[in-house]
Amino acid sequence: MSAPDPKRDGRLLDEGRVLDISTLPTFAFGNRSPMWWGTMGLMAIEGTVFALTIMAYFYLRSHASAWPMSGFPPELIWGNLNTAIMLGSIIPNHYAKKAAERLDLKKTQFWMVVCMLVSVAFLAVRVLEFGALNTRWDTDAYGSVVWMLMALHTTHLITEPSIPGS
Amino acid sequence: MNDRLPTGDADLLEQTWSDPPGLIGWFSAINHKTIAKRFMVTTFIFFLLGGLLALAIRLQLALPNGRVLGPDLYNQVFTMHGSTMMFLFAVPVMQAVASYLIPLMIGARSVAFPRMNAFAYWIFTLGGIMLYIAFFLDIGPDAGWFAYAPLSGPEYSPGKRVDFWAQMITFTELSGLMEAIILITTILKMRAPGMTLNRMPLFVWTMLVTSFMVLFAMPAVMLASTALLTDRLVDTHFYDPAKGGDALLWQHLFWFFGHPEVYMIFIPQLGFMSSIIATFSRRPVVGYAAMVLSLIATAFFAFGLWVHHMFATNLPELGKSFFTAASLMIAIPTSVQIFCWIATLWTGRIHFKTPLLFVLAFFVILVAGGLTGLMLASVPLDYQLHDSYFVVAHLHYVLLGGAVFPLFGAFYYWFPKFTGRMLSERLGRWNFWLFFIGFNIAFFPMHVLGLQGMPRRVYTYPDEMGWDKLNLTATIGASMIAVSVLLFVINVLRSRRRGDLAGSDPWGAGTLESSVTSPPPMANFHLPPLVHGRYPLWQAPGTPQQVTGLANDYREVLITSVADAKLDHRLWLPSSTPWPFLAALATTVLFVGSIFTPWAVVWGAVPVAIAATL
Repeated sequence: MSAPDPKRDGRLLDEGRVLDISTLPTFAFGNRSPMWWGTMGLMAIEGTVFALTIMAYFYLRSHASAWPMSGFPPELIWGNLNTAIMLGSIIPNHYAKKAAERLDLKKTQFWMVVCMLVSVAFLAVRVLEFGALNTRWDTDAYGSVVWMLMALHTTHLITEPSIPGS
Repeated sequence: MNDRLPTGDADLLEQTWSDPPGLIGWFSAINHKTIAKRFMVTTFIFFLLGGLLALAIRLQLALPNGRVLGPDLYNQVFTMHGSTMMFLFAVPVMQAVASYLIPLMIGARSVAFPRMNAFAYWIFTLGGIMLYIAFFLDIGPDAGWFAYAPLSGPEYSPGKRVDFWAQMITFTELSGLMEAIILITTILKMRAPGMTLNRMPLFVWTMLVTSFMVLFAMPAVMLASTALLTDRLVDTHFYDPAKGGDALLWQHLFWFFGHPEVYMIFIPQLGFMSSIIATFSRRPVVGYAAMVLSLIATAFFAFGLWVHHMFATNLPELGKSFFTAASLMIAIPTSVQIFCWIATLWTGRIHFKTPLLFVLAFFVILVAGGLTGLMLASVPLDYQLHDSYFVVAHLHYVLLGGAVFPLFGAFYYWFPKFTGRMLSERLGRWNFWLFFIGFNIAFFPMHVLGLQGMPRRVYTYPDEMGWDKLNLTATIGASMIAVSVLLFVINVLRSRRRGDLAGSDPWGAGTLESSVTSPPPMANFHLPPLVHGRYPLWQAPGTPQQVTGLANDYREVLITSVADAKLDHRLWLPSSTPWPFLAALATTVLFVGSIFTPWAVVWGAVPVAIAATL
């Protein structure tokens, strides 16, 4: 048993009847923070929406004689570029996290701005992606489900940079 | 447990956590108890509206060739009845009661995200109001509470009726999802020091399990209704077989939500049951670990049952058999719980008060409903009974027996805590017996009607079918229910002013909410407790007893660890603000606008973003 640390255990007062917690810190990182749990909850919800939409995609595909139904697959160049951008965004995210954990405000702000710029770049390429889908939402069920997936994802991309921004 | 905060500090603390005065103050309130009380009142108003709609249905069906409601209005009435009860009452009322009681039961001063809590209330209320405005303008939805495609699609339901229904889903599910996140975070991170998961009240466990179910089930109906809206508004083809869509996709997506939904309605009631049975048996519930594991098992199985709503489709028979098996299996954890409660009552010293009466009704009504559910789980029998009044009987037995009766018990049990006054026992007994007898008179005949071939959702029936006597009986029963609910309303209104004063612990309960005054202080606990057992008020106080050091002039709360509730850190919560209300208004404009044009999503997003940021 390590010695009691007021910053972790508080202080016992009044012959052990009362626990004074005024020495505890006022913030915490990772899963110690309620915000982490709130964010994880939102991720569970959004993850479920995407999982269900992907399942709808495969469900509709299982009933189709041809897929894509009109026969035109999408061009993959812009999507691949965006995948690369998305994977690359791990880097500024990682640095932002490390800077925050070091309590370096300036660096945290800097890397968060970089993350936002990456999001904007991603959105710009996303516009090109829509053009390369070779189907419209009202063409057939294939077009509907592909556009639904893209629209849901794009909505997330738009709301996402506003969270660190605010 | 006596709070030993000096009077000056106590007053300052009260001031810090209070809602601001005045009209703007009313819209700025974010104290969890204030929001929860509004939420409970609003959901109860929807319950009354849903009940009036049910009465309209019964009046129409009392006699053959009824002419109380025409067919078009009848379709709207039963759609509104089902939608109101399921989306605007059943789950929201549980979340409302939980958002009041959970912080008190776990020794916390607030819920985790008070502004989001307020937003969830407002968005729910505005969505319900939108639906009823549509109904009163005679453009209410009329495709049933589960709006099957292609009936609900653009070809067979032109106009905006079904769009209002689908968007109401978006409102209410958004609210439910937010509330679930709030409850999960509150329960996991804000419990009093020493309240390990193993010492949490069973009601808190039920809300934790229900909230996780919400996270995984509600997205399915949001997706389904959004796809329905796009099919209707911008010509997508999710449910349109001519262009590769599938009507069954709707059913899968809807019931993947719909089946867990009924368990989300049911499981919080199990928590009410445990709280009330423990108190009125004057002993802890038998088999805590078995109870918790049963809850988790029920929640888990609930996700594997949805196809039993689709037996009358062309799905492969082998697949259907799997769902029959799962639907039978889910009875097992529920039975474990029932046996634990029976053991608790058997070995306890029972005192019969109104809350316990409502809880005992559960054993009769829910069990009957569960048994008919097991019958319907058999595919061959379901082929005969699908879409008949047998199903109507079953669903009302499980919903009223499993949810509404325990809920009324909970209201009688916790009304003293909310208001400081007791409800009248005498009126309570009249309320109970009229409800119990009226319920059985109303719904038992429907089993027989279903077996005699009466289909659901018919607006009338001819003389020759021989269904008239049982329908009339059902209507008489429904009238008794109406009188009973009226007695409840009278009881509430009278007792608010003239009921006996309650004190902090009128029933002799063992959990923390009974350690504070009735109604509680705005900060819940002057000095938050430390917990050393499952029923802190029934055990000798351990040491240390209380927590000090939280600020009195700032809304400060204590954050603890997930499993063992060890101290972690302090957190400042926001003060009262009107922005949750304004954000809800902006979101309403976006949602309602998008019924009429897709551009509303783009333009409407701007005010929502502004309001949400501020």
